Amino acid sequence: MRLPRLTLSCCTLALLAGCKPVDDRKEITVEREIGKLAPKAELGLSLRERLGLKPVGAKPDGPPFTWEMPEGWTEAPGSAMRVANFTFGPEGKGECYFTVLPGGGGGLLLNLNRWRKQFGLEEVDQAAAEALPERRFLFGSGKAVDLEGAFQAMGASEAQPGYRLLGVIMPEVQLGDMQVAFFVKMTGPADAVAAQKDNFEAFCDSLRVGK
Amino acid sequence: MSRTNKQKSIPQKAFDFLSSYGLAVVLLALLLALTFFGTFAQVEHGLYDASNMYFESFIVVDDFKGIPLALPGVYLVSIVLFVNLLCGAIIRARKSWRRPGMIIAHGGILFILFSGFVAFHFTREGSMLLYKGDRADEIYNLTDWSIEVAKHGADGETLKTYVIEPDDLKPLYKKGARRVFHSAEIPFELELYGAVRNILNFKLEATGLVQEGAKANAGASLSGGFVEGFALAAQRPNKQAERNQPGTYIKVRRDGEELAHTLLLGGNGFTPRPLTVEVGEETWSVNLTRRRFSLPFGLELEKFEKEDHPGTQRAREYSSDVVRVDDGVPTDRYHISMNRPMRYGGFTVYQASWGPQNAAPGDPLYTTLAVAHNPADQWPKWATYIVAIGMAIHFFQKLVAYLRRAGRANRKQEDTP
Amino acid sequence: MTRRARRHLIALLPLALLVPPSESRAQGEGATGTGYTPLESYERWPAEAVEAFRSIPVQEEGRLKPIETVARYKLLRMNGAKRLKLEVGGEELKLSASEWLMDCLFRPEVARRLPVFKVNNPDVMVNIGLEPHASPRQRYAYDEINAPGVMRRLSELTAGYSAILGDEDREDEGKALRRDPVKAGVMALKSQINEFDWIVNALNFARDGLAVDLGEASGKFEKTGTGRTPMSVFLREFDAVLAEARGEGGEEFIKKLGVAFSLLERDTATAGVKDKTSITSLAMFPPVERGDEEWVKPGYLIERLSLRANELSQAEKAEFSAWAMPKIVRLESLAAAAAAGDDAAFSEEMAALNGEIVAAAKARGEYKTVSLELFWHRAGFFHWALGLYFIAFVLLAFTWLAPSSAFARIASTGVWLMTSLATLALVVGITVRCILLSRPPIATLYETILFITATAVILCMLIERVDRKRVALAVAVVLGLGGMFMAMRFEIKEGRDTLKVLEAVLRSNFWLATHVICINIGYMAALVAGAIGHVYIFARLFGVKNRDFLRSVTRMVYGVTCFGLLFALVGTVLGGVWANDSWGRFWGWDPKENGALMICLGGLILLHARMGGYIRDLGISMCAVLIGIITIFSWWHVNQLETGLHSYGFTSGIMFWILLSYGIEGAVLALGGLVFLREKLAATAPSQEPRAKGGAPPVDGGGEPSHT
Repeated sequence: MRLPRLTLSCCTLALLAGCKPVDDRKEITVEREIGKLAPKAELGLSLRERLGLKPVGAKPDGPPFTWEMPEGWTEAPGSAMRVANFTFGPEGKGECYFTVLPGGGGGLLLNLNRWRKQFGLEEVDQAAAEALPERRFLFGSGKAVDLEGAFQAMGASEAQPGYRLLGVIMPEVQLGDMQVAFFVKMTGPADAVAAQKDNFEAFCDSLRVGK
Repeated sequence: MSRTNKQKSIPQKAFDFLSSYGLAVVLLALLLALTFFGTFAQVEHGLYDASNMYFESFIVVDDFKGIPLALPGVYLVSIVLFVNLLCGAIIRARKSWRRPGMIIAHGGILFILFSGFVAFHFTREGSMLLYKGDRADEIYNLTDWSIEVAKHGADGETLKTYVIEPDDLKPLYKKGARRVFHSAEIPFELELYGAVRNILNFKLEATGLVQEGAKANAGASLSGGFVEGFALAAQRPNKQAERNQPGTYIKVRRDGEELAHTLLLGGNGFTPRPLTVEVGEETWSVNLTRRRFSLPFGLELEKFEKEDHPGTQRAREYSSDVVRVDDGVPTDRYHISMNRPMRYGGFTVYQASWGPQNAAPGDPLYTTLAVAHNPADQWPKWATYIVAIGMAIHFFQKLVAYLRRAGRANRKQEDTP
Repeated sequence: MTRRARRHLIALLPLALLVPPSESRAQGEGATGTGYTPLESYERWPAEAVEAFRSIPVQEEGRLKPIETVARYKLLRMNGAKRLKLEVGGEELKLSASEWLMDCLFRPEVARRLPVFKVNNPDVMVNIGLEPHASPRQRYAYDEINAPGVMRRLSELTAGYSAILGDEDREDEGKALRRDPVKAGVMALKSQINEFDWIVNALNFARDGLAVDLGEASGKFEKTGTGRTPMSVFLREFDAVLAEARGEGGEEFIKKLGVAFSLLERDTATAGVKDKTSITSLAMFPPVERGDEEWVKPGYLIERLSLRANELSQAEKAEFSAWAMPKIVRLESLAAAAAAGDDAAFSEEMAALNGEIVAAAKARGEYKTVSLELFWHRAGFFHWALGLYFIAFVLLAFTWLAPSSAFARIASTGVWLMTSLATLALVVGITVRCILLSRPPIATLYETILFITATAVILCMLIERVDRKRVALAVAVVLGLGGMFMAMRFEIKEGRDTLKVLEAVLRSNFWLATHVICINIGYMAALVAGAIGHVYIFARLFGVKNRDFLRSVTRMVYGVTCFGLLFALVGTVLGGVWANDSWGRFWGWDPKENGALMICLGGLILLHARMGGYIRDLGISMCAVLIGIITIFSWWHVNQLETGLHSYGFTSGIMFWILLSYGIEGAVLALGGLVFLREKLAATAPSQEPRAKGGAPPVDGGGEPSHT
């Protein structure tokens, strides 16, 4: 039969063509034009910064975030919920943190009233919560909160008067397959907070999802 | 044919061989077998690897459910088939004007094979992902990774970018492979080793990035030693090749002096985080990134719209409204939807996808546009017309002949009592 | 969804958090459990009420359809048939799907005792701790499965399976699990039970209202004395209820309301809110806004007036309430009439409900297809086609018994007639489907079966017109019968409405009408050629010597293959052109594309091998059978590979049939090989009959000689 012989010769041809030596030195010859709108590279990063990935053994985290730390703030250790955590002001009394709560956080009203309670303020109703000013935040918008009063932090025994809170609430965000809520909360002595208001706004504006 | 064989010259014999039906049958049968095995290989290895192995190769060596296979690859078979077609169906049959349809149809098939060849070698393709208001003029290939070596100016702006192509990186994924890359225009050379194709598990956790002293991966088989507290361990490649994230060990040397010895991991490219190399006054960077191409124009997403079938989450239609940006100046508007790409300057921009796939109603969505530059873009369409015309002519001739014969046969039957 | 509902509850009444979350639905009210007994009597719904019910339009899976369609497929999924057979008091009853759905909605206590669930594999029942019935034909009632421990066992098993299926790192385990008949059966049963649970609880709100007497909880409200409050009353008083809860002594009031509220949450969910995912198929109210396309389910009305009332301003709420309340009241009256057994009132209310919805649908210009669809159900075109093909097959068998008798000639005319009528029914059925969906006939796997069957029969009949050998006619009948049977089995297997709306990429009538049709004609012709090839192989096997007959069969095989090749080739390339327009690549080696390519290659091999003189008539037929096998591969097998872009039709449990058909076709090929060997041996032995110049097969192929 002619067919098998033909098949065989085709296969042999293929085998010959398939062998190619691997060169262990290779010249780089291709040059590429960079797009005018291409993102700028971040230079001078250490290995850890470059990896951006949590190695195995570390807690798997949600979507990573980026932000710019304002001048004069001090980075404080984060926690499970506090993605970014800073202190500022005299004696580091002021703190500002960005939290991501899984499960939607219970909605705008619940959180607003939780904060108001911490400041010894009365609870408000949904209409009042809805009436809060909007601010651009992450990829959408959040409610801007500004409270003053005697602040009793979680677990603290006494309220401290003359405190102020600046915050942003973005509840019930669908992120991947889970629902989350985002908060930025800055608390501290009223004058210290007032002094950092611009920094607070800048920090909120700089927050981004993704590396 | 065999009668005259002995008197034929060798070129004549070669032509006879190349134009023979036998060769055509063997090649077609090989294509059939390759397509069959390649389809099953996809189940096992995913589309990308199976394509590389079966459809884009000169030779296939695989283990098909325990049966060892060694066949010529589709690429090779197609080339030989092209020659076979050219010799057999066009050159030899050109005088047979009784069958014009077949010559036309075969010409069309030749054209298809040729456009496949052109498309395979000259297509540049990639994707861009845009949220509303975003602008971009670069696309990245989802599956092919490259290393970019860039020189930067004082403000960190990129002056020049050299590319190590995906094909030069692929051999490095083999165990023990090592390669040095150099160029007269780059003041250092790069030695890559211990490269792994994928460091992520199927849940997309970086299980292939092992931290020194961490218990979790005590048993992992590393592809190199610990460098700055980290090592790489190859993970099973994902069948969806675009989910693989590669990594490699890298040594940067200048005149025998080691400037850096570290790891490079595939980055997402939205904000490149390359390895920075300072050489004297110059700042260079080395980045493992998806193969990127820049476009001669930019696109800005004005609006992305997704419409579901009522009461369901099944997309009925999605489309992007984009503005072309030339030198930073917005110019023409385009509406891109499924089956309706934008064509401009030899580039075709398709509505590929959107995300995040599980976004809640009201969440901002991004659009994924696929961009391809394929010189053979519309050729298959013309080829189809040619083939269809040719075959229609031919089969029409055949049908007429068949009907005539059948009619005759029936008459004969009716005549005989 | 429950989570979402609860969230709004929290927003309104923070103290409601104190209430324990509701028990799982299965163990809710219906958990009588232990003593299941079959129904002793069954009272049918009044015919007018059924008639009014079945034509109510609902929106499901993106399409407006009569509720009859919903009922049919719901029942088909659980029961394996679109009608419910049961034996009550020694009498056999056949309930229509609509009647059954009415039981589910208005008489759940009856529905739970109806033998609905079909479980083919007895080990499924053993696994969840139930004694299986003697035959899978004997269905299980919900209350039978809802025995102590059984439901829990079912949930535990399926929870374990889901964990595996959801884990991408355990892909192989997941695949194995889905292919394990018992485990797959357990999962199927669980999802059927779930669906049943949803539908029997769908109108709880209308039947039972709120599970607390507001008047007993607070003096501010009127007592009903039944321990319950009708939903309409509760919704009307909702603002007052809120005020009471927030007022002095509100905590006490909330405590009394507590359980009722968590039940309200459940009943709202089962009645269906606007969440795009719920499996409640009762989107029966056209939306308020004209521009809005999404019809709404009853739960949405309740939700907007209670749990999510805070999203509306007072004016909006009043407006919405004026629109929604009559609908709730209507459903309540229906439920009340059903509970009282008042047939006249029930029929009247149902007719009124139907009238209101149909009028609204007509005003929106959406009703036309609904009545056409009802007609389509009633006409049962495909059942007719199946039956007629069957009759044709029986007649055909008669013609084989005595091929040349006068009786055979009459029977043969009968075959013609029956086949024509069957095909007519099939074509009309397909056409109606096209009108209902306003698109070309093929976009789903199911539709390919219908189309391929119809065109195959038509092609065979055309061939028979030309070449009256009764070969093509026989093939037509066999393919028609086989195709319709396959369509029926596939519909049962899939258990989904076969009239489907399409994904964005498929919504191109141009490509559906060109690429898809071409490819399917290619499939069809390959199958027909293969089928005729069988005739040839068997004819040779049984020593048929009639050269004229053999030659004309070969011509048919060859001609049909060429015809198919033309379409397959053009269709495949058109697919590439389409892909180039939607995905930016002409060819992507996607499995379904590969399948089409393989058919083309098979056809090309046949042609070229014949031209080269490598095969003659037997070879052509064997090649055609081989191409038939390839067609089965690319038509069905490829979809089972669970990979690729065209994976629109994964259906579990059909792999067996695919392998079986490979086996049969392989055997036919082997027989062909046997014929070849036999004749080869006969040729080498001293030959008795004179031969033409040396070729192995005794008959020369039709068509022209090879041209070398």
